[in-house]
Amino acid sequence: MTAPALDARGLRLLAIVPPVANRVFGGAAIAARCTARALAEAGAEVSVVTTDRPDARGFDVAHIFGMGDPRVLARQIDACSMARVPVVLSPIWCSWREVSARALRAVDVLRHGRGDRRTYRALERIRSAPLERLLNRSDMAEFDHLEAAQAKLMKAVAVLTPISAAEARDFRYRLGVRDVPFVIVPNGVRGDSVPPWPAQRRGIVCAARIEPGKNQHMLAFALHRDGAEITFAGDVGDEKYLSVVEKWAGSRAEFTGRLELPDLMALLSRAAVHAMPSWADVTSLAHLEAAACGVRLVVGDRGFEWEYLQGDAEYADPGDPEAIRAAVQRALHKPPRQPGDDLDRRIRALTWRSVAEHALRAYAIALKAAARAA
Amino acid sequence: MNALIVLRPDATSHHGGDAMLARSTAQALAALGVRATVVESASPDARGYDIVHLIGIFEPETAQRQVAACDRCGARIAISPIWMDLTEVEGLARECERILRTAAFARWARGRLGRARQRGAGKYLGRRTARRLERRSKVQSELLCRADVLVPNGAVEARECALKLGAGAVPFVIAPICAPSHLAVPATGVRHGVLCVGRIETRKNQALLAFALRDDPIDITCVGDPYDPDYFRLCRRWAGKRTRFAGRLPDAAVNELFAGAAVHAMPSWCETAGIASLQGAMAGAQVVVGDRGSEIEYFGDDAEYADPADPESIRAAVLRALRRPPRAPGDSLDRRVRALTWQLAAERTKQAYEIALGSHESRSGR
Repeated sequence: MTAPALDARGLRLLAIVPPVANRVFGGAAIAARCTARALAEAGAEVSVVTTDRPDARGFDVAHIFGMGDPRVLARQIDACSMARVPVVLSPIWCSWREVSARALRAVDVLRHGRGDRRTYRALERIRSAPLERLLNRSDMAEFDHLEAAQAKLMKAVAVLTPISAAEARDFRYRLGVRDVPFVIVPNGVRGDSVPPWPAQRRGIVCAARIEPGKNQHMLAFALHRDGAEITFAGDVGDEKYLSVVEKWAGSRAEFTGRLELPDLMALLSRAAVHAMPSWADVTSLAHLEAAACGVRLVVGDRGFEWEYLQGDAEYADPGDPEAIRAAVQRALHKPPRQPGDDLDRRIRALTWRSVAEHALRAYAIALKAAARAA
Repeated sequence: MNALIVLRPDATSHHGGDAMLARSTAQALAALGVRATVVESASPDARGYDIVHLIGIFEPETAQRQVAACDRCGARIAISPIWMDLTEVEGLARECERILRTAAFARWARGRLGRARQRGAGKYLGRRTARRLERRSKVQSELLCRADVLVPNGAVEARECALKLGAGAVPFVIAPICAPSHLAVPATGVRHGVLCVGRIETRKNQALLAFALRDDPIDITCVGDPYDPDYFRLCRRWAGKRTRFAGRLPDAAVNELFAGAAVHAMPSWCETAGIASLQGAMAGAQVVVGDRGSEIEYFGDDAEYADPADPESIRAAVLRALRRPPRAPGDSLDRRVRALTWQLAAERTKQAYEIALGSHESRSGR
């Protein structure tokens, strides 16, 4: 049975991506472009811009993707408000407190450590200490300030479009953003680019920017005694951080840099496991696309992937090398996945058309609110 | 496959969602070829069963005895945790109760509730309570880590079990909780007023619901056993003239109330899905739920959410729900709750049993 045609005719949409996307390749820009394409196919007039000062005149709705930097978001919202265009925001929000408190400290430990008992003990201390003890007053104040600014901006838009129920729950509870309507718009997967699943698979892949939040340092350390074949595919932002990952990844590791989509998909479809035990992922596109390629997954337990991956992934505490190693071992020892398995069915349902369908609901709410206000 | 589904010993006298989950799952499992027997016992006899499925770890000592009994028989164990973090209930919720108990005027109560919210849950946990909760979590953690498989009701619960109880390495399959479909009757005529079906207790938060709406011209009906007389007194103290406490009613009467209510409101402090809210949704009412539990996973953007500590937030959510256009059969919320069938729950549960049976050998080496 084919799905009924999606009709977005008459809608003029401005999709806005923050300027950082020009330097840092990430999921927000992919989501913006793929959503825009699906809406254009449904008849909408769509422009995608990467800027902090969008010209929204002539558009019905502006959809902003991501809110890392509140100052940028404030400028984007201001520009849309000046043009009297209602704003829909995909926050892609999660707290970065643990990245700052635990991930960065662990990087320091692993930069200097020798992998002996002292290293493990130091990591254990970082893992088990309360956040308030790891972050000093000024760090805490900075986070409070940042999150208050983010909350204020989220309250200034017409509709929020979290990627999952858990993200919505988190920003309602942690940031107190309760009175803004929301529509859950799931992440999509670029299913057309998925190659057929091969009979034989081997090795571990971690497809993500090489950065502390993605936790490649702990993954490399967790597996350093196993001589695992591991490929890190992603941009390097910080050479010093890369040196820590390289130190523990060993000689069998490969660093490919960022790959174009077909090459990335080919790499993922050859791999046995995609391991990215992140500290702060809202819902990683890399995991979803790896799942589409038939790979087994090792995921950090702090993110919001649970709704998508459910019991079909292995979860690990990103601060615990033993937990990460055990999760990778479990994933490697499981029987190979089969096309059409539960996870495959769930992932295949994540089309950009369905994303566009949910986004259209959000736009309808925003337009209605704008009409009422006028 | 033979499964023994184990409930707490007082599940019949103190009926709750866990009992409905156990019996409905057992019935649906039969259609899938699994012979499931439900018992209410602290020391079940698991001999002759392939798997034992414990429902709920909210009474950890009872669950411990149940697990020990199963261990003696060498049985494989599945656990539906039905786990809720009680930190806020024992901290902030109790403080809100104290405020409502001691405040002379509504205005004073509002001010003090606002200040209590600012301070957060942790500030109101006494040392003894904190230690008790810690011990409780430790036992619950051991129980979950002992299981061969977990059967949480949602991804939020699965994540909480991993993050707060350290059960991340235990395999799990999500089996949703569903509304009892035999109770749903098609609504007729005009819907009216707010209904709240649930035991009258701190966790379900009827006192703040009544307080929040006391000055509004809205008819409110609370249905449920008042197990705690002090809490019940508090609810009645702050309830407006149009609030009625009907006590526990037969299913048919509750069903009629669901069919006539405009809104079902239960701004709980913690909940997995909230069976009463599912029933309300299935019966065509708008739904108001708390924003702390797993409800958001079940109702998505088709419900109104309220901060259970904030009467203004509860009132605003109820008013938004009352302003929503009337529901229609087949609408988004209707489709959402009707997709949650006991057949689906049983399929997932069976899958969990299969994992447990397959994983038994490897577990000993874990």
